[in-house]
Amino acid sequence: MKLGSAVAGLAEAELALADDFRKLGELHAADHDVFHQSRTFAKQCAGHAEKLRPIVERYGREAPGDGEPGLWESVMGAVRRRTSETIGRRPESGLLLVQDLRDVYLSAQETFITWVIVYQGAQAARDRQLFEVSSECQLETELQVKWALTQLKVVSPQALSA
Amino acid sequence: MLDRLHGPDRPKLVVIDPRRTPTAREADAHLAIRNGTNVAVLNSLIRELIENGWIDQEWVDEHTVGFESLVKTVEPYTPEHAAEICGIDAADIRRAAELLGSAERLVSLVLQGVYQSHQATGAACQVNNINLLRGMIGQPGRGILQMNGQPTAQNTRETGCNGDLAAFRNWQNPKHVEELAALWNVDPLQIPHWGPPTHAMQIFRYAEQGSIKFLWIVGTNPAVSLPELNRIRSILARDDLFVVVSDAFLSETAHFADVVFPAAIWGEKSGTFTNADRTVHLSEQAVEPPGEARADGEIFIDFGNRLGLEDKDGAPLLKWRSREEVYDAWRECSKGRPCDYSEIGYEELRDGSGIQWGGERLYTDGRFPSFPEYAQDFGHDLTTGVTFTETDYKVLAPNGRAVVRVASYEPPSEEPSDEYPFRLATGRTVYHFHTRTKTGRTPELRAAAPDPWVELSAADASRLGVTEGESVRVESPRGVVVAPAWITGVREGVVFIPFHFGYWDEEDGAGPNARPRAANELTITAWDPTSKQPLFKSAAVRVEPA
Repeated sequence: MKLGSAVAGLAEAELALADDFRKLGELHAADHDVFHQSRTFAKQCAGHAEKLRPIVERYGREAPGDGEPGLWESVMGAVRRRTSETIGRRPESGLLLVQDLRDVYLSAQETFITWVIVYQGAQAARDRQLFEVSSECQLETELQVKWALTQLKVVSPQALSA
Repeated sequence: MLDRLHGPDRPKLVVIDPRRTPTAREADAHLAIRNGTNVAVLNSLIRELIENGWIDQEWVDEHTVGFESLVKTVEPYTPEHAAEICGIDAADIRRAAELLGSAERLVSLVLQGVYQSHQATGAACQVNNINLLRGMIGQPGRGILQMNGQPTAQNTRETGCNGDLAAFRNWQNPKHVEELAALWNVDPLQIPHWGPPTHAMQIFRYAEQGSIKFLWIVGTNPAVSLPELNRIRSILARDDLFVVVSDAFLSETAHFADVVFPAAIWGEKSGTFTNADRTVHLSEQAVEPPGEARADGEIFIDFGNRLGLEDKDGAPLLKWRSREEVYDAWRECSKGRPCDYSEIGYEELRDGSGIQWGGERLYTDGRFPSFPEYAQDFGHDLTTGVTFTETDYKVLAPNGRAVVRVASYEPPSEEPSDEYPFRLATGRTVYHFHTRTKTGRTPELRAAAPDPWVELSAADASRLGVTEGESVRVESPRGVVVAPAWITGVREGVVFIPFHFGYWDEEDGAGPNARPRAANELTITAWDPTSKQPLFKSAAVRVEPA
């Protein structure tokens, strides 16, 4: 069924987005609000993928990994964070933040629209579980999009004019 | 209020505070929660009010929007669930909810315990929501006092000193921006309205990045009052940051300044200030300022003119000369806005002891300033700080009704761990104001509270082997404070340190030398995503005998 493949793709997109948020936080550890909120969003995305797991399996697809970073990723994360605390004290870090927020905005937007598509499909398939999960999660993803947008509006003027 | 507790017809008192303060000792229900869990306990109280039918549903339907999302959000917060998060008894939550639910009149009073704790705006809104659900606002004995910490904090909010547009104007409303542009005769593009105001923590972040190179600090003392002082000091000390400080005394911050402007204080200058209850006072000059000191307003106008700031017709941007001219410009600016000063002139203020803008009471008819074209803000998502747009806001169709905003409980970003097992809360003593720049120079106040201290519960003190008055070392991932221990009624697992103390009267003057004693050595760089206020009551620390 095509819906199954859409759901499996969505679960993968959520894990990729979790990774994007985790990296965004690590790369901008000296921007404290970005750091804290990105970590929360990374957990939220991993949670979305977790909610999709039984549905993906029900459609006879293989669910993607658990979304927790492996040892290598954890070490790299710590390196990114330490480096960003040093680099974060240079003016270029403002522009880097704009660029990374822009990227995460686009990924979140893409994930959001996939939720909408799956939500529509769930209704046509009368899949109550998927309908409930997608109606709840798409609101949270929409908020992630709006968050990235709010942050971009805040930091772009300073980064571009400094 | 405290007097009435000892008189006839005693009102009931509910207090939420991890410390057993003098107020908490008088309470009928004292919820000594873990700091950082305000939203959990408030969500539970609200859930109880709804479950037991202690709300005025008719009033809620007519005067608010967002009730359904409130019901849905608080649903998981049974007293048992909240009690576990907050570390208190579920029965105490029920008892407090019953007191709130059975009250015929209800006054709610909020200050830094809410604003500087984790999920600050979420908690502040839930306090408002309690009064809204009970329909208790705008009548005698029924209201909310979201207090300010200082008598001038109200008027700085109104005038825009916190970065907001003057007179509660909305940066997302082009008409509001045009009004200001017309008042000041400038192009609307000259007025920054591309995003939410840049808050102090963000300004310091830009300075840390080196993208702000000039910082003028007026009448405040970030080298003591902001979180994570090692970081703040390193920013203020940057070679590429030119720091100007205007203050009446040589503060810790002034030690980092490239230029210091000696400023006149109250009694040495004339001007108005406004209290949290909207009372406008005129405070007139009694003595000449000493030496070269001048009033802040005078310094600003002189500076603006020397910079050659002009309006769009080439006239000086700052046209005012006297205090009264400045104030009259503010009356014109605030006309028609929620804080309307247009009818309150110096003449009227000289007549009595003060005049409230908006009259004695607001919201008497249960109508609120929430029409989209009038509202000061389109609101935020309280958990993420997402700024809602005009479109988001119009969907709610508040149109004179109160907007009920609500958040779920989220754990704080820094929770106690094996390494740092205690929760830190900073706060005040009655004897000092802010960073003691004035009160520390008043002999009686200085004698009453000469040094900082560390409050511990009896159980924690005995576990640590610390006795009353013994010196302890408190450490967080960011710094250290050493001060004598006081064994008080603070909640187990919580450490309280007053934030007033710094270093201006110590040998170094700028920072800790032999005696690290500013509470903000320990605090975390984090702020509420909506209000942007730093979270001074949200850090993990360890304690050991010094």
